[in-house]
Amino acid sequence: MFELRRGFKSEANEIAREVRGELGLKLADPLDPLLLAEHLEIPVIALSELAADAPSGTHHFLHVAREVFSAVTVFSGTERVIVHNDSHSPGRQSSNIAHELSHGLLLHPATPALGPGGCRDWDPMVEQEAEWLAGALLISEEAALWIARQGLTLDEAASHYGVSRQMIQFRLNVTGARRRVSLGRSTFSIKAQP
Amino acid sequence: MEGAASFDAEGFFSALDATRQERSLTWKQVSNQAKVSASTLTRMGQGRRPDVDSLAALANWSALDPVKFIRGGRRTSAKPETVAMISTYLRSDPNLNEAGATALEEVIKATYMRLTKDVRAKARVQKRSE
Repeated sequence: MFELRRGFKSEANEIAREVRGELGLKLADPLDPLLLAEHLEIPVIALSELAADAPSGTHHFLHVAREVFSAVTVFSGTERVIVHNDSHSPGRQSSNIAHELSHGLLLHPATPALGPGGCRDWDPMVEQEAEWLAGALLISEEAALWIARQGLTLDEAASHYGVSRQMIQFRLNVTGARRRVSLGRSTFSIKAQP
Repeated sequence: MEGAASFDAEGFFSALDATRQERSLTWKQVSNQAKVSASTLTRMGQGRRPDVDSLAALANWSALDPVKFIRGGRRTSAKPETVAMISTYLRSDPNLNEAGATALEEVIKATYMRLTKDVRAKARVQKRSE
């Protein structure tokens, strides 16, 4: 795994808290990425909406090779629009959209769409930052701790937050939420003893 | 009545970006230093004009003079025309096969056409309201 630059994780948590405040959400509330997109004034288009304009391209990604296309941000000058693959599960769609919005919040430099011969420019650092921020936006640290405290199963948490089980698992792991909660409980129970 | 002047938000945003790059900062650091939210900066990238307080904060941070971004005439900006020139972040398998690359090209072109149509329509609305 590519290493995130020092301080990035705290910055991501800060941004996640900031936008939650702007959206009037509590720190552990579920965050709807489409509402965040509206707040950022970034249009989001479902791939299937482009069927008339790009019939074979949309057919390919909606029916033939669904896995290879999650989402793309396309620019005109500094203005952007997001297209996401709406044939993915709702949980994955949330991650895909949150990932693209994270690029937007971090104002990452964009790269040319396709080079000669269809090769793609791929910046692993930028991708990893967006991946990390997307997770922090959807399942904040506070949300991960809340899930652990409530003792929710992955399925229960995924359904509450509208994300995939994998996202819940990932965020529980990286925040150490279950361990922190059980540590807190055992410390509390020791202290509570007479 | 003289022709209405307007603030070149895109030009101001580009100049901010140049200042940011000169100082080797991330946008998040700009946000912290200028005390302007990350989402305000993102919306500026979307062509939204900043509110007066954010503009003042960013002008102060960057030492850019907002007056220099007031334009009397219509600004023109060159737009890319081929798909290779369209900027993106792609969230898909980096090792696309030929069919995938062709499909992606078609989707990106269609998206770009829609975006430029929307941007032009928005510019017309903005111009009418000025």
